[in-house]
Amino acid sequence: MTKLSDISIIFTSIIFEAFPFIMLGVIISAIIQEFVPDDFFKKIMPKNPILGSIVGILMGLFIPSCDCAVIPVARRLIKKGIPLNVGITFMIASPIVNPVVILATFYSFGAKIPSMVFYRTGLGILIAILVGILVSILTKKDEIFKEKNSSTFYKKCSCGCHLDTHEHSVSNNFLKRIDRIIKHTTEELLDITKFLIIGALIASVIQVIIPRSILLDLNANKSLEILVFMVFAYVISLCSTADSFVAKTFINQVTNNSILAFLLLGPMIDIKNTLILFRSYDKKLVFKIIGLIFILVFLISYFVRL
Amino acid sequence: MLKLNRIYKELIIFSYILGSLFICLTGKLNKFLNPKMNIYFYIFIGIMCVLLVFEIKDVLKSKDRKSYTLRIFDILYILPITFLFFIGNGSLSAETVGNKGLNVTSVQTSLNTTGNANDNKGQKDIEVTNENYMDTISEISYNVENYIGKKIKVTGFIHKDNNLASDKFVLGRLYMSCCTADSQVIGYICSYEKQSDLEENSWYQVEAVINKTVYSGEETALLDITSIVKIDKPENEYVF
Repeated sequence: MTKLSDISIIFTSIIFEAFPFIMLGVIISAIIQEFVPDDFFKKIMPKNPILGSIVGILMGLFIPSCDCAVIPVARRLIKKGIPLNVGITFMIASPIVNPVVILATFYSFGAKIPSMVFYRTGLGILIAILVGILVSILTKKDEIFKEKNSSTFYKKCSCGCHLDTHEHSVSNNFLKRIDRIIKHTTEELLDITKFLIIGALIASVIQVIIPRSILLDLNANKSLEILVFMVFAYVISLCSTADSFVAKTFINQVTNNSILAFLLLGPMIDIKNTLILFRSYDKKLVFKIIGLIFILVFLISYFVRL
Repeated sequence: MLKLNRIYKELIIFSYILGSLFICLTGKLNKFLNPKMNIYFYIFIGIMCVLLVFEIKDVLKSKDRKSYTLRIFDILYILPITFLFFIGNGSLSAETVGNKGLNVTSVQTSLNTTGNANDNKGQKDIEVTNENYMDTISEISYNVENYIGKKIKVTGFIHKDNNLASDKFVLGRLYMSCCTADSQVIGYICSYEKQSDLEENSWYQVEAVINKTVYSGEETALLDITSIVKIDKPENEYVF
């Protein structure tokens, strides 16, 4: 019974912490849908993939958002025609290059491992660019979004929602636009909420049930420890502004490489984001994104000297 | 006639608004969120109300609104509300608290350090309150040399850590940086001969003299206890 109450408390805190930020992401997404012309991004985006990735990073820096808010925005941008690698790089990098996250990392590790904030930010950017480029090489244009077999989805509305009471681009007066933004917001928010709930449920159960000590009993094996900390970051689904303080409690108990792996992987992908990604994109694409993130984070954390 | 599948969106939004208000009105909000996040939460409730109004308007206006086929998966929507019935008083059990990380050296978390802590520098005795807890602990754990020999009065719960000697324990608080999921035990290592008399997770007020010790390779404060009194658990066990 106390376990149930603990799970409920942690679950509730994750849900109600994430809600305002998902709401923010969804509203930005609805506003982009309403006000940005369909060919806008095609015109302004650089064709060169490396240059595009840098644009993705800069977008992350100037549209600071946490890992909850960024997914609906990235999905909308990709639907609006920004290149896949730019969208993915933006989605993966922005929780790491967020100034609030950089500051939190700096203060958590400032005294003990001063270089950690540079490794986290720099390597995070590198991984985000690599994943963006590799995924877009491996993916055809028509394999990006979920298949369109599910009833009325995507048929009536280019935005990907399943409303059929609103007519797009029929009337552009201001009130109609507000009305459409609000309806898009409701649809997307409820859609994402379902997946947020599953993610938060898994994360809270794991946090209460799995004893922390199993993380610390691996000191013999460096690569196994890195892997375990990546999985740990993945399942507990912490907010990227908070995870550096949690990571700090492991200093001197595990290798710095494992801590770096934890700090790199957590903001890029976690269980609640994965479920939201599966809702948004073709599942092969999601597997590619997650697989590449895991491989690159592992290799980089293993070989870097801290 | 209104059928469930026609108004399910309204019901979900409405129940989430009620749930959010329940947390706010019962004063439990800051057992889940750091107070710096409160403003976002209030904005969220406000926007939810706007969404609800538009949805209701929509239901009333268009009679031919297509009904949505509810799937078994949609049952998940009721989970956030269901769990609210199980949160009890909103405090985590000792077991789960013990499963969280422990931070007793160089406790610095954000920009808002120093400030209040400087007030204590000139004084002989340091009195730690909820408000200056984070400032004080980051100052003392960083510059322990400056504080050796000073008296300190602080409250917290007993947390016995396996890495500590048998006459030592941690007088801890839960620090929340965003939400309960990321909360951590922070606190002072205390030295007390009758450590075994103290009950894990119960609350005490301690008067002590500051000394120093080494924990996992790092210098930090050690409180040599002069008096220890059992107290009731405070309203909110978190510090921010």
